[in-house]
Amino acid sequence: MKDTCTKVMDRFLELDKNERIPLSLTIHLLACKKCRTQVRLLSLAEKTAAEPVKIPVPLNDSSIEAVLAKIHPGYASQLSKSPISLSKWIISGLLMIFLLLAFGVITNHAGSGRLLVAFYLMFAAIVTGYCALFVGCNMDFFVKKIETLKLAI
Amino acid sequence: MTISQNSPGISAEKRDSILIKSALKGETAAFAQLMSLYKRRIQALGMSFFKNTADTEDFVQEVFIRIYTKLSTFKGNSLFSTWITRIAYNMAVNSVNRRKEYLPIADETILPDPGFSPEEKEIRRITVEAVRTAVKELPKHYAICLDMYFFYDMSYQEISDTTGFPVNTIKSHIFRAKKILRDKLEHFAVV
Repeated sequence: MKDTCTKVMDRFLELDKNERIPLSLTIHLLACKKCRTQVRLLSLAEKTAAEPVKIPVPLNDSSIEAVLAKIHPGYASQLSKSPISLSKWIISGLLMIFLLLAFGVITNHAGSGRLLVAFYLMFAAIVTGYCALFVGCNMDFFVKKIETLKLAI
Repeated sequence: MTISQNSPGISAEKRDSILIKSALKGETAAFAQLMSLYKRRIQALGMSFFKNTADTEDFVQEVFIRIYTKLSTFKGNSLFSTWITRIAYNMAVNSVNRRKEYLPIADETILPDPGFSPEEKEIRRITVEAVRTAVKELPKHYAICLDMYFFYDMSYQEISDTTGFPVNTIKSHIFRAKKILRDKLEHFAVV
């Protein structure tokens, strides 16, 4: 590489983003094919390096929805397409009622009063625990329902 | 308010300005679009500091919530991309979860391929390699300057405003990286 070319390229490498190429450099580039190729490749290198972070993510991206849910719960409920499934909760609730009733019937036949009190206490504890778990696990569902009701009113 | 990424005749600056005004009026869709445009930038920065996707995801959400609450303070003195990068950088640096060492973006695979031609792909690979080589020769905390210049498309002054490093120091480190890149590209041109 000639001395002039080295100086010209160093001058080019010092340039900032989107800085205009000085006239003296442009004149040299017009005359020197080697420097012109280098400048083209370096410009292409900078362009391709910065390209990937500029690609937008889809609007239904999970973190966008999560942020919107925090800043504007109503908007997030409009975005969510899949409704929350409660079927497993309903099935397990029905199963729990069936088992508790079965237990009640069996202990009734046994005729023990103490066992019956213990059964009622256990029944109350299980129902309370189940309800707390249900609300805790489906907090979003209830928040959205309340928001929707508020909007409807 | 919906503005396409490639809307003809509209610069990124103008597009952001329109979206910010709409977001400040309460249009959540406009803010969603801003997040869509800048999520990858914040995510890449987060990955460099936190080095795992779970912490990075939390970081991205925290940054956007901070941006949302501070949006009215954006006066347009710098590009919106620079402003949010500065917020994200400060939050990452001050985060208790951040890892000690900064992982340069050149080591990451989370960024997508925007449909490069074979020549562009090869040039990008060479650029990543050149930045990696240059980073090895630098004091560790300057690695982010090279990332900001090459991968986040930021100018010397914008990098200095964000990181607080002197412009001339940034300039000389980037100059060195560019020289390495030029040498590597020279071989590419010959081949």
